[in-house]
Parts: sequence; structure tokens; C-alpha cells
Amino acid sequence: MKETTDSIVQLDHLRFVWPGSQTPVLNIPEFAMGRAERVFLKGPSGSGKTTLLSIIAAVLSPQSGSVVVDGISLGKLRSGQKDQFRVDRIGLVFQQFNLLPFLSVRDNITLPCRFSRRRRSAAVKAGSSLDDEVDRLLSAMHLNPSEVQHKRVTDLSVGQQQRVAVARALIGRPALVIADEPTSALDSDTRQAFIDLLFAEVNAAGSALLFVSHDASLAGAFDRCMDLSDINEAATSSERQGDWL
Amino acid sequence: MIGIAWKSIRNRWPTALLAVLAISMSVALILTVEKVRRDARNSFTQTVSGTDLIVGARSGAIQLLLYSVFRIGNATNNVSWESIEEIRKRPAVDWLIPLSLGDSHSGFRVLGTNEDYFTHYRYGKKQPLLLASGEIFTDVFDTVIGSQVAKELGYVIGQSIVVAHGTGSVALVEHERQPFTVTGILRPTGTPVDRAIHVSLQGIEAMHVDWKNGASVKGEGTDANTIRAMELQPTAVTAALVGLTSRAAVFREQRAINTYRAEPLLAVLPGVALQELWGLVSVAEKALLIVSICVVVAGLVNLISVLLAGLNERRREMAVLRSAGARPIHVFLLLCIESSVLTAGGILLGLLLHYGLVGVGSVYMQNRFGVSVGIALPDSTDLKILLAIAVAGVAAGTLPALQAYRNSLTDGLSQRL
Repeated sequence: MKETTDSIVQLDHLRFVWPGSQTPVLNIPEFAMGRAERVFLKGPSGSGKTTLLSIIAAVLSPQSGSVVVDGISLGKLRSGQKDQFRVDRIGLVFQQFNLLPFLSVRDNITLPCRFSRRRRSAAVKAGSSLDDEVDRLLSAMHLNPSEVQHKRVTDLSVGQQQRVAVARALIGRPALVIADEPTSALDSDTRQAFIDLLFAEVNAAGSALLFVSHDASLAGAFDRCMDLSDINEAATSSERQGDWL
Repeated sequence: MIGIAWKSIRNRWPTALLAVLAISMSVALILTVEKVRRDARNSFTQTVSGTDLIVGARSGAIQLLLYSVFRIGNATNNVSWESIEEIRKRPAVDWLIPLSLGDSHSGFRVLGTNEDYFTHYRYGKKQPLLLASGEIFTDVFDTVIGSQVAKELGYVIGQSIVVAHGTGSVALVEHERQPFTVTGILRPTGTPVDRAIHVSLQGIEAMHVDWKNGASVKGEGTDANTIRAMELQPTAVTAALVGLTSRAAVFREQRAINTYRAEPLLAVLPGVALQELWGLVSVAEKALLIVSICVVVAGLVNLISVLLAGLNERRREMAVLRSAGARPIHVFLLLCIESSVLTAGGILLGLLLHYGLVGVGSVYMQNRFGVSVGIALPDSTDLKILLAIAVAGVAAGTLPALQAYRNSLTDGLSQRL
């Protein structure tokens, strides 16, 4: 578990084919992402964005090539280790339905700390206690801790839910935050505000951010903006193949 | 994990409650059936103790036992007084209690007997009958009533009662010309004694003085003092309880009575007759037990179906859990804990329900059958049943848990990933 490289994500000759399919979805000769770098990845639906995120999050395994995330070579991990790797080092935010409806806002945010000692101790170190850190994150997300912490998740607006999801992704300062279309359920007014909050906290946590969206208008503030087809040599063929979802 | 599981159940409380209810009903049913079965047996076994032989007209052993001791059903024939005297004179016979049945008062049976009943009759652990108040009958028209009779009818010492012919709860013909007086009330025994009205054999004869051929003779009737002056020797009784000087003689005496030439008689050992009775009712018991087990299985199947049906709508929840770091094994555990909590809840509620049922039902059982069903802590059999249900519930829970585990493996982190 050495963390010697400067990259948070390092892909090398990555090739991924969906089972039963002939043509690869992903064929990425090389891709690297620096520590604390904020990368905006765009591309049309079905171009393999989510597939790429799944591979980086060790949910899917590529047929060939190497994936190194935070200095860990994912190909060498067993499935239990992959789960541990994920919760220790990656914070995830999805388009919607990020939260468990039966847990309070506070319980939802601390959920990764239940499964990762690393995240827990980092969270406790960041605040003076886990509760403090939750309060801090909620405030940073412009949510009033005393107001929302014991609320049912379902009583929050979608925008509030997404901000809670960000707080959860960031608790315990994971090395990498992966956000998969986190703004697509938000209206255009709140999108930019959401991005700003996300940025501020990713910076504060010192995490790298891999942000996927088809909405190029958000790309402005990112360190780097790229189209998946720029790095994916299989892009054209997969588009022809249609949607595999 | 337990906290999460609990909150998850709370969030789904209507379905969870249904699952708990289904299990609790089955638990309550099986415990109650088991309880009634055991207590009925106990109660029956407790009713006669210390009696070596029951003697009656020749019929079946179970029938004789039922009508003589438990006051269930009626005798087919009587035993002549001469035979009773013959038996009493046998050297091995220590004591003999004649029993004369066939009349009733307000649905309670009237038992004609003599003082020997109060000195020799034993119930439970060889306990004698004790008076709560008053004294044993001395006059022809005296009665000693059981505790339940006194309680239900509100009778006190000195109460005058009229006895009816026949044993139905609504008697048509009453012996109203010969009213009886309550002179004694017995302490509760938890046996059919509590529901009996005891009179002397002469009393039984007395109330039938004006009766010929099973019907009341018209007219004023004989007055009580005339009756007292009459020779009221019974000609026959319904049955007799016999105590021997030595238990070793029991089979010899039984054979002697069974082969008695002057009259076809039957002598049975209470214990043996009880065994025969159990043999008879065990079929019904088994059927009841099988039904109870089926209800338990139905409850568990319901648990599985509730959890399985919930799984599809919970796939998203599982994915969220997974994305927040839960491993598939955690998802498996979550479901296992949920089913365990539901099973435990069902068992607890079932126990409460069982006690409620027993509490309400015991009154009915006591009144209707004279069977005492007491509320007691679960004994080892109950605990075994509960343990079996608990194990079955947890085992049943692994089915949906396995399904959730498999789902979470294939679904990965998100419904879309």
C-alpha cells in the first residue's frame, strides 16, 4: 500500500469489453490524474463514462491493462480488498438516490465511517469528534446542522440531498471523490452553487475530484476538462454499438 | 449494523408488523395448544389420587373413568347396593366411596355419596378435601358444595337449593318439593370436585321418593319430616371408588370384581384408564399439533415473503449501502439481523398473546371442563419450541439475505453502475 506515485489515478492500456459483446467500450492507452486535481470528464450517454468510473472504483475489472488508484494496483486486489479499498479511499456521489431513506442525515453522512476505520479516524482527526466533523461538513454545504441533522432524508429537497451526499463522500477525506452526474437532478440555478460548494470542500479535504457530466457548461472551474473520446480509442465503435445500459 | 437494521425495520413498520404478527400468532397458538394439552393431562391426572380401583357397571374403562371421576357423560347402568356391600366386605378393601350421579342444580352435578368421600377422597398430591366453611352433611337434606359452585351461584351456608332431575344445564323437572340446605363449602381443588354439589346417598333417595317410573307423582308430595323418618337405603349407585389396604392386591381385586358372578361389573385402575384415554385423545392432540406446526411454517413463509418482496424495492438501498462502503456480507448480515429481530419480536409478542389467551381461556376451561390451566413461566418444552421457532426464523431469514447478497454482488454500487 505504498503511495509513491504523484498520480491519484493511473490507467495503462486499459481495455474493457462488456460480457457477450465483441467491441470494447473502453480502450484507453493512457490516462493519469494528479493528486488534488479536479478533472471534468464529459461525453455523450453511453460513451462509457460510468463504466470508466466503475473501473476506477474497483466495481468492474478490465479485461486487460492496469489501473492504479492512490498507489494501489486494483488488479491485484481480491473482492473483499476492493470493497475496503473503495470505502477507504473513494467518496462517491451519484446522480440521485444517494441516501438511505431510513437513516437520519447524520447517520447517512457517517455511514462510510462505520465501514472504514481509516475514514473514521481521518474524520475524527479533522474535527475534534465525528459529530463535530459532521456539523462542519453540513455547515460547509450550507446546511444548518441543528436543523437538518435529525431530519428524515426524504424531507429534504433534492438539492439538499445532493449536498448531504457530498458531505458523506467527503467525510474522512478520501483521496479521490468520484461524482457521476451529481447535478443532473438539480435545476440550473442551483447547479453552479452546488459545484462551488463541492469545490471548496474537495479543496479543504485535499481530495482529487473526478467529475462526470454531459453538461459542458459546468466545466469552467475545473483544472482540466476533457472528453472521454479524447482518451478512449474505442469511443467511436461503442457509440455505434448503441446503448448497453 | 444492528442500528441500521433496526432503523430499516422501523422505516418499514407496516410490513414488519405484519410479519411479527404472523409469527406471534403461530407462537401463541403452538404454545397454547401445548399448554392446554399438558394442563388438561395434569388436571385429569390430579383429579384422582390414592384411589386404587374405580368400580362401575360393565362398560368401557374410559367411559367409567370419565363419568365417575370427571363427570363427563353418563353411566349406562348402575351398580346394585348389594354388590357394593359385597365389595366393601372384601378383606383387601380398606375403604369404598359410593358415587351416585344423575341429578343437577343450575348446571352443576349433584353427587350422592357418604362421609367416606370426605375422609378418603384424595386429589393432586394425595391432598384431602378440606372445608372452607361449614361442615359435612349430617341431615338428609344437607349439601356440601364445591368452591366453584359457591362462587358462581353466590351460595353461602344456609342457602336453600332445589335440585333438578337430569344433568342438562336447563333442567325441566325439578325436585322442588325437597329443597336442600347448604351446610358446607369446600376449598378449591382445581378438580371437578369444585363443580359438584355433594349430598348423602339418602338425600338422593329422598328427592326421588315421590317419583315413580321416572316421572314426578302429582299431588302435594311427601313432606321433609316424613321422608326423614323413612328407610332411605339406596338400591343402587352409579359407581364406587375403592381404596385397598395394600397396592399389591390391586390386580387380584380387579379380577375378582370383574368376574363377580351376581352382576356384570367393571373395575379399572385409574392410571391405566387414563393411559387408555391418552391413547384415544393423542390422535386429536397430534392433529392439533400438526396444525400448529403448519401455522408456524405459514408464519415463517410469510416472513420470507415479506423480506423477499421488499428486496426488489430495496435494491437501491442496498446499492447506496454498498456505495457507502458496505460489503456484500454486510448486506447479508443486515437482512439476517432484520429477520432475527422480526422473529424475536414475533416470539415475544406471541408469548404475551399466549399468556393473554391462557388468562382468558383458563376461566372457560375451568367452567366448561373443570380443567385448570394455570399461567406459568415457559417450561423446558416451551423453551425448546421457542428455540426451534427462533432457529427456524433465523434460518428462514438467510434465504432473502442470500438473495440480497447475490443482488448486491451483481448490482454493484448503483442501480446504474
